[in-house]
Amino acid sequence: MSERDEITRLREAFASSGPETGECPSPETIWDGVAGKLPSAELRDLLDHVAACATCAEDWRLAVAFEKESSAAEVPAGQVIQGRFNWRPLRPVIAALAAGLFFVIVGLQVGPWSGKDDAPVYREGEQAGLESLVPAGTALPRESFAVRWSPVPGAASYEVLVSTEDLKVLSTAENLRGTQFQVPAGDLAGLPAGTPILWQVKANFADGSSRSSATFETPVR
Amino acid sequence: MRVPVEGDRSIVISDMHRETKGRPAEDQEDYAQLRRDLVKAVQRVCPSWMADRSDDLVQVALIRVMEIQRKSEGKSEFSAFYLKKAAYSAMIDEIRRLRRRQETTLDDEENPINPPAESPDPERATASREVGRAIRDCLGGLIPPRRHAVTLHLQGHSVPDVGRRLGWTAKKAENLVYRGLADLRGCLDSKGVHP
Repeated sequence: MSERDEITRLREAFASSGPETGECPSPETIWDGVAGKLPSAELRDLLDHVAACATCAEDWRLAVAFEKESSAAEVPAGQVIQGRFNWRPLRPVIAALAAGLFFVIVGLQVGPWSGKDDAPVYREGEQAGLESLVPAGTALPRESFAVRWSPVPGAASYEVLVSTEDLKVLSTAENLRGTQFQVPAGDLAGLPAGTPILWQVKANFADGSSRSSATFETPVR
Repeated sequence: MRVPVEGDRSIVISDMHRETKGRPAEDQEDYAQLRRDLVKAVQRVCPSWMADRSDDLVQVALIRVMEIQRKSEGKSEFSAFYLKKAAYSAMIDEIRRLRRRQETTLDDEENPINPPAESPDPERATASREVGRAIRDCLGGLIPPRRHAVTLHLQGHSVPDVGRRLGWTAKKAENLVYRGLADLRGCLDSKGVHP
C-alpha cells in the first residue's frame, strides 16, 4: 500500500463516527480554532480534544468545509483578482537582479565573511523581532539552564518550547510574563554534555495574535 | 440592542434582515449563498443520516442569523466572519442535539451509535469505526506536538497548513507529521490494527 493510500485510509477511519469524549468545546471555540483566532495554548487544548473526540473532529471538519465553500463563493473560480501586479515587462530586470544577487551570495560563501563559525539558527517563517540573549555558542550548565530573549513591545505573555535536535520535547512553559525561562534540571537529565538544545519563543498579544521567534540552539554542559 | 461586531474581514453583509428597505434582492442572495454553503458543507462531511436533514439543520442556522439581525434593529453591520460563525454555531448546536437524540434512540434499541445507513458497506463501516477508535487511543499516547501535527493531518490539512496553523516552519511540521505517523503506525501495530 502506498503512503498516500495509507493516509487516505487513516483519514477515512479517523473520520468514522464515534462517541463524544469528555466535555466538548463550544462551536464558537471550534470555529475560532479553524479560523486561526485562538491563542496557541487554547488551540493545542482544542486539538487534544479533537484527537480524542470523534464528534468534535467532525465539527472541525464541518467548519473547514463551510469556510472553504464560502471562500470559494466569495472569489468565483476563474475570476481575475484586480490589482495583481503584471511582472512580464520586468522579467529582464528581474533576471539581471537575480544574476547579481547570485554572484553576491557566492562571493559571501567563499569570501572572508562566510561566517561558518556562527551558531546555527533554524529560521521560522514569521519572526517576532525577538532575539536570543544567550551568547551564540555558549553552553549553559544543566543546573541553571536559563534561556533569555529580547522583549517584544506589546507582548502580553510568552511561551517557550525546548526540545532536542530530533524534536523530542524536553520542556514547555506558557504565560510567562518575563523574558527568561529556566529549564528544570530534571528535564535535561541524561543528556550528554554538549548536546544541542533547541528552543523557541512565541510572543502572544492581547488581541489573540502571536508571533514566533527563530529557533535558537544552546548546548548543555 | 447592539450586537458586537467582529470587523476582521472587509466583506460586510449588511442588514440582511431588512425586508423591504435597503437592498432586498442582494440580501436574499446573501441568505441563499449562506444556505448553499452550509448545505454543501453538511453533505460533504456529515454521515448520510444527518446529511439527509441538511435543509432542516441549515434552516435553524439561518433563523439564528436573522434573529441576531432582528435584535440589532438594523443598527449594526456584521462582518461575514461574524455571521458565518453565528450560523455555524447554531448548526452545530442543532447537530449535537440530533446526535444525542440518535444515541438515545439507538441505545434503547441496543444498536451501535450510527444507523446502518451510514455506509453502503456495513462491514467496512464497522471495521473503519474500530480502526478509528484505535487511532484515537493511539493519538492520546503521542507526545503533544506530534499529536497535534498528526491530528490536523488526519483531519485533512496538508503538511504546510499544519505548520501555518501551529506556527511552525514547513520543515518542522514535516518532521512532526512524519514522526507522529511513525508512532501511530507502531501503536496500531501493537494493537494488531492494520488500516
